Parts: sequence; structure tokens; C-alpha cells
Amino acid sequence: MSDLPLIQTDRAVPPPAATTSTGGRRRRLRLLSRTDRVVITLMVLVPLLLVTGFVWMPAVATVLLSGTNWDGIGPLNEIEFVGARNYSDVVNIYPPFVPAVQHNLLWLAVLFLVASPFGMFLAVLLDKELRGSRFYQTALYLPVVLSLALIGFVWQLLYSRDQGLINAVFGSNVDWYGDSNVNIWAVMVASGWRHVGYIMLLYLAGLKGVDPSLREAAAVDGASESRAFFRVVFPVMRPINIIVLVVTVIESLRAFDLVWVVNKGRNGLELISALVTQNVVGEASRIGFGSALATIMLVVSLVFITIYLATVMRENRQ
Amino acid sequence: MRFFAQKGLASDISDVWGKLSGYSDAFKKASTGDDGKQYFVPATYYPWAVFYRKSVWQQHGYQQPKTLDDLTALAAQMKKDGLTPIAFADKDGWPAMGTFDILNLRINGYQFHVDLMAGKESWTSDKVKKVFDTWAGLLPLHQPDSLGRTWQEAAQSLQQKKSGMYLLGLFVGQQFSNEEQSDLDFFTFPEIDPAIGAKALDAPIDGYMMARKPKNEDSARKLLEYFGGKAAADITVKNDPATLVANSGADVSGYTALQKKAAELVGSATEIAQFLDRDTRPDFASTVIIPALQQFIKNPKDIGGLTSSIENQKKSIFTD
Repeated sequence: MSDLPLIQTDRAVPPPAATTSTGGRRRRLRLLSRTDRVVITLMVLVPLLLVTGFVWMPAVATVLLSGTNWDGIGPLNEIEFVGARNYSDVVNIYPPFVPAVQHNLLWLAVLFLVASPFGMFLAVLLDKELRGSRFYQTALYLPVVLSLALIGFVWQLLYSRDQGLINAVFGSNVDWYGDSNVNIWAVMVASGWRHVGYIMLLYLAGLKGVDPSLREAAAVDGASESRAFFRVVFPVMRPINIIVLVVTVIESLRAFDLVWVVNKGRNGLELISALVTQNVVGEASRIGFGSALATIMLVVSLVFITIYLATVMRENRQ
Repeated sequence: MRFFAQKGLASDISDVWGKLSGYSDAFKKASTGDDGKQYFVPATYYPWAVFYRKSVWQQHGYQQPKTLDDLTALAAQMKKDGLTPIAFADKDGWPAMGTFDILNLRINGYQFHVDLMAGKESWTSDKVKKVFDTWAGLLPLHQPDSLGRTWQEAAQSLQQKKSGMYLLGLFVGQQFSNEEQSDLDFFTFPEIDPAIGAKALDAPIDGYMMARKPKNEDSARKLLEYFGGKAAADITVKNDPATLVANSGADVSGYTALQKKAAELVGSATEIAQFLDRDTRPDFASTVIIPALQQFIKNPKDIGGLTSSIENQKKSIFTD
């Protein structure tokens, strides 16, 4: 969650003069001592190897394995290729797939339309530095610090049909985790509770960096609070807005821990990530089939990543 | 066990079996792979049966049912008396397999059940549909909203005298305190088809296997021989009152009344199944059957759609 670019601060060092740009850089490299060159090479090479080994190679392996029906057992040269059969199975005869896609989209919609705006709203409120804002900040951010497995357990104490707090206090009999019409919403409340704090803190940090003279100018011009925010502050916060958008999309694609802790992603809590884990990890060991699901997830993520990169690169060119 | 043995992941330990004594033929059969060799040394086992609290039944004057009609009538009576007739939980997905297994064993017999698990019979056959039909008829007598309930919570409802009975393994006793253990009793699921009777049951066996190429094979075989002997069995008996020891040579004088009865039940059973997720391929059981049974519990009306979905997925998995 931290490999996103921070806000571009003003460059303190001016870029080299245009005519001697490449010559200047090469001249500067030659000025570096041998130790510096070794250190720089290592600093590039080691992360590169780690990323290749732990991210790119498994990704490529997953895509290749999705064309097999390997079950994880036996030598690699005995793996049988079955072409696109796993993909047609996923789409045609695998009942949890369609609900999983729907739930992932629902998760994205709820996070994007409800949780993130609410987090931004809380950040705007806290930015006013009212009395007790430090307390509220801590209280709202606390769920972010808790691991999602712990959150799942805590909410289980609330949501259990027979022994949970909600049903005990309200005298209701709702099967929060077992009724597939209700449980996705119950889990999204638990997940949103955490997401709101996270977005709030990101946005608050960004708000602190907004030039106060802009706000003063807006106040002098007689703008109301909300107009001042939407017309003045919000456009200036564009980099932060993009970060919030990216984080929201990532969190919705990544959603996994909570549903896994509740019931391993079944019965109304299907998510593509949970389906991948169900199939690949543990006794199921349907590596080929699970890899097909994982590849589908990769392709969906690539769509969003492409949009993001295109937007950022277009901005950098401007 | 047979799945892993057939994949070549376990070693043939028939020679160890030659030195073991105290195992009935049923256990030897359960330890034998598809090629006729032994791959498994049993250690403990426990039966699945319908459990109830003696005090509750005595209070209401209930009798153990001998046929399915008796069971239905008993459950109706329990409902009138304010109890939930049959406790039920399937949040984890596997407990419902116990109900499917026993209904299939009673309605279609042991051989059909074993063949269905091995992928040799079709899930769309009328025999399987009959199992689901019978289950759909019994579902109203089960605890509602089972998909959000864990088996521990369902067993606690039995312990709290809110439910009349619960089909589960012997480990249901773990949810009862020490003083309440003597209040627990059980009966095997009643017969449905008089021609088939009520002798078959699920009794998962836990034990030891040897990897295909262990580093120290001789010592491994000696260890397995020890595990299959009386000394190890005696230690196992003392450890867990919710399970039974497989070696009949063990000293079982410390068994509770419940354990003795359970041992008799399995001892007199002619046909023992292991439980659905051990009798069939594990990938089929966990990725297909669990969601399918949960779907059935949610919507017991669409049996045709459910069984054809299971059959299609089964065909894509049982290819080798």
C-alpha cells in the first residue's frame, strides 16, 4: 500500500541545461566514484531481482499454468496442457464465478461511492481543527491498524446469529453472516469501517498541504464552505484525489481477508481472490483451474492499471 | 488415502501390516488402496450418529426412532414441545456432508455411495435425486439459518437443551462439560429402506502413512509398526475422550459409557464409509460439493439444476 508516488514536491535541483542534457548526465556519472557506481548498481539490481522473482515470474507462471490441469503434485515435465478448457469451465460451469464478479464490482461501487467520499468528508471536518480533533483522528484511524483477520473476528462477535451482540441488543434474528442476501453488506460495513479511516488520513495529509492563502481568497470573495471546497480546494488536491481513487480501486480488487475469515468466501461472500485461494491453497490444489481465475483477476487489474498509468503519463507530459 | 496412494505419494506398507495384530477386517479394508496394497496404519476413529441429551428425552418421553417415519414423527413432536428438532450448522461447509452421506447410505446402499464418491456414478441419476428429495423433506425439521452457524454453536444449542438431536461425530462431546458427558447418548440414523437396513455409517479413521521416499525408510517402518501396536494404542486411549482407538488390543477399560457404545456401534457395522471429503477427490469435495450443498440448503427446490451443475463440474475434475 505504500508503493504509490508521493506528491511531487518542488524540485530543489534545477534540471540540467537542455543542450548538454545527455552529455551532462554522462559527465556527472563519470564524476561518481567506483563505490558509488557499485552501490547504485546494487540498489537497482537487488530490488529488480526481487520484483522479477517474486512478482513477475510467478505472474507469468500463473498465466502459463492456467492452460494446464495441474494439481500441484508430480514432476513439472508431466504437466498436461488443456488449452482454454479451464477458462470455459470457469465461465460456464463454475457456479461461484458470476456472484464473485458481481460482488467485486459491488465492493468497488460501495467503496467508491460511499466509503471513500465519507472518508474525505471526515478529513475535511477534521481539517477544521475543532476541539477534540486529535481524539477523533486516532479513533477513526484505529481500525486501519488492526489486521483484517482480527477485524473479522471482532465483527463475528457482533454479527453471530445466535450469540452476537447485534441480535442480542435488538432482539432480532437476522442471520448476518449466513443469509446470502445480507452478509455481503454486513461484511462491507466491517470493511468500510476500516477503509474510511485509511482514506481520511490520506486526505487529511493532503489537505494540510493546501496553500492557506487560497482558502483565504475564497473566503474574502464570499464563497460558502462547500463552494470553497468544491471549487477551490478540490481541484488543487488533484494528485491526492488520484491517489485516493487508485487506493480505492486497489482495495476493492484486493478485498479478501475479511470474507476469508468469515466463511472462506462462500455462500454470498464470493470474491475472485477468495475463489483463487479456495482452488489453489490447501486440499483442493486445483492449480490449473485456480490459475485461470487468477489470470482473469490479473487482466481486470491491468485494465485499471493501464487507465491510471495513461492518466499519470499524460499529466507528466503536460 | 486412496487418492494420495494412487498419485504415488505414499509408500506401500503391506509388510508392516504383516506384523500388526488387533485390527479387524473392516480396518484392513479401509487401509487398502485401489491396487490391493496397504498404505495406512489406523490410529483412532469415531462414528457419526444422532446425538441427544438423555435428560431431555426422559423429560419428554421420547424413544429412539427405528425408521425414517419414526424420526419424522418424533421431530414433529419435538416441535410441539418447543424444541428445535434437529440441530444443524453448515457455515464451514463440511458438516452437511455427514447428512448427505448417511442419507445416501440408507437410501441407495454402501456400494452405490462408494461408486458415487469414486466418480463412477452420475450425480444426475434418480438415485441421487432421491437423496436430495428426502433431505428437502427433512429440512424444515432442521435448525433454520444453518449457513451462518458453526457446528460448535449447533452443538451448544443441543447442550443448552434448545435442540432435540444432532447428527454429528463423536466430537460433539467436546462442547459439553465434564459433568454433562454422562448425559449424552446416541443412536445410529434410522433405516429408510428395509432392504438396505441401518448397518452402514460414516466413521472417519485417522492414522499414519509413509511418504514415497522417506530419508530413513527402515526407521519409518519401525515407527509405523510401533504406532500400530498395543503400547501406542494404550497411550492414545488416555488422550482424548472424544475418539476411539482402532487397535482392538488396546486397554479400553478407561472408556466412558458413550465411548463403549460408540465402539460397539462401529464394531457391529458391516460397511464403514470414511466421510465424503475423504472418500472422494479432495478438490471435488472442497470446491464443488461444499458450495453445492450450501446452495441446496439455501434453495432445496432446484434439485435438477443443482445435480446437473455438480455432474458437469465432476466431469471436468475426474479426468485422470
